[in-house]
Amino acid sequence: MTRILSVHSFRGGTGKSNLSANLAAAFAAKGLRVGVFDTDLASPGIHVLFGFTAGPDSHTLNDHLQGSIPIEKCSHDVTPASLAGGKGRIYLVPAAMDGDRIARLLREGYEVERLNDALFSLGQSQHLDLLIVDTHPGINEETLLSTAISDCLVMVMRPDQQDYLGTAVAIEVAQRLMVPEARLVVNKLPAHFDAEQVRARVAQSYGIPVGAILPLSDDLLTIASGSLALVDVPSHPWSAGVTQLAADLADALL
Amino acid sequence: MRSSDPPDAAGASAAAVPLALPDGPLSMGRLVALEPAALRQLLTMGLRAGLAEPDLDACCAAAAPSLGQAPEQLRARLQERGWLRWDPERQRWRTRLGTDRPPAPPQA
Ligand SMILES: Nc1ncnc2c1ncn2[C@@H]1O[C@H](COP(=O)(O)OP(=O)(O)O)[C@@H](O)[C@H]1O
Ligand SMILES: [Mg+2]
Repeated sequence: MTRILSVHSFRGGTGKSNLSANLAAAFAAKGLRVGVFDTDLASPGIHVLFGFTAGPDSHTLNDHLQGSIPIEKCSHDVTPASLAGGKGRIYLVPAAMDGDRIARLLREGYEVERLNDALFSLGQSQHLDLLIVDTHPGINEETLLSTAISDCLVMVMRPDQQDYLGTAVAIEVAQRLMVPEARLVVNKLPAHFDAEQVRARVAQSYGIPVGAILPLSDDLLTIASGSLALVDVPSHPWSAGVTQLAADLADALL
Repeated sequence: MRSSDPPDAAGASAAAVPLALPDGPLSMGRLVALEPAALRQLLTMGLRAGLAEPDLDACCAAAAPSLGQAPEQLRARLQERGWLRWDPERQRWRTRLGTDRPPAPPQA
């Protein structure tokens, strides 16, 4: 059965999309078949990291949620060339990028139930080992659903007071929804912070395992979501942290 | 509950003031606020892989007492509200979100 990993944060800009895409690459490098859903329908973006541009005929998650296109037709193989020789694959289900479609989705809404069915259905038909759900920040019907159905919730936060408080709220909700596994990821840690001190502090405050402490990185800012750090600069400390997190998650889930 | 209360008295008082099962369709916002925890667990399991017959029985048995109902009653209520339905493809009981309910029986 496909394992579902939701990557969430209470506030925006924490690095969810960068983490989701690079985790997918790390899993694919281990030979796993991975699906990635962009459920941030109001502000989509993870497709950029995979260098994917939707053509006029390429379907998106919106076409499934607000139309009758089967989810399989909305998924696109975005496996990086450097991994294509192996068994691992990455299938991306992007969200629509044009303003009209985004506005229509926000205006008319959709049944979150369809999102649930789509995840299970793609997992089964593509024989996926893992599905990574990149989410919209905050708590709403969709993020509650992706939290409830996940086998593991990865909460991403910055070392920031607003993030500290919001993350506590999101974790409490996850506990009410009985998520079996959770990991906390602190991203964008400034160089002058003591990583071990931060690790100890968040581990104690939230009572869930710390999956990774990832540095604030000029190199990531330079990559500017244009590609996958794991592929471009695999030995960078940020990439190394994500690779280690992927190994930990694979051990816990598969 | 006072620590001096014997456990069966606590059980009786929980049954005397049963938690109410809200009316209307199920949303995630509603699910996350539901009590008791056993009912939340039942519906969360139904959202994931779904529940086999024995799982549903066990979950209803665990959740029913704090709702002041018999397990079969709770099971029937969940279906009436359209929160739970049998999925013939997966052969599982699954949680149903939203307004899409089975058609109401014709009014006499
Ligand atoms: N560790 C990091 N160091 C520096 N910049 C980062 C880091 N992680 C993410 N970013 C940058 O932060 C911005 C937001 O990242 P993104 O992954 O889109 O976050 P989210 O999906 O949570 O909104 C992007 O410009 C990205 O390049
Ligand atoms: Mg994002």
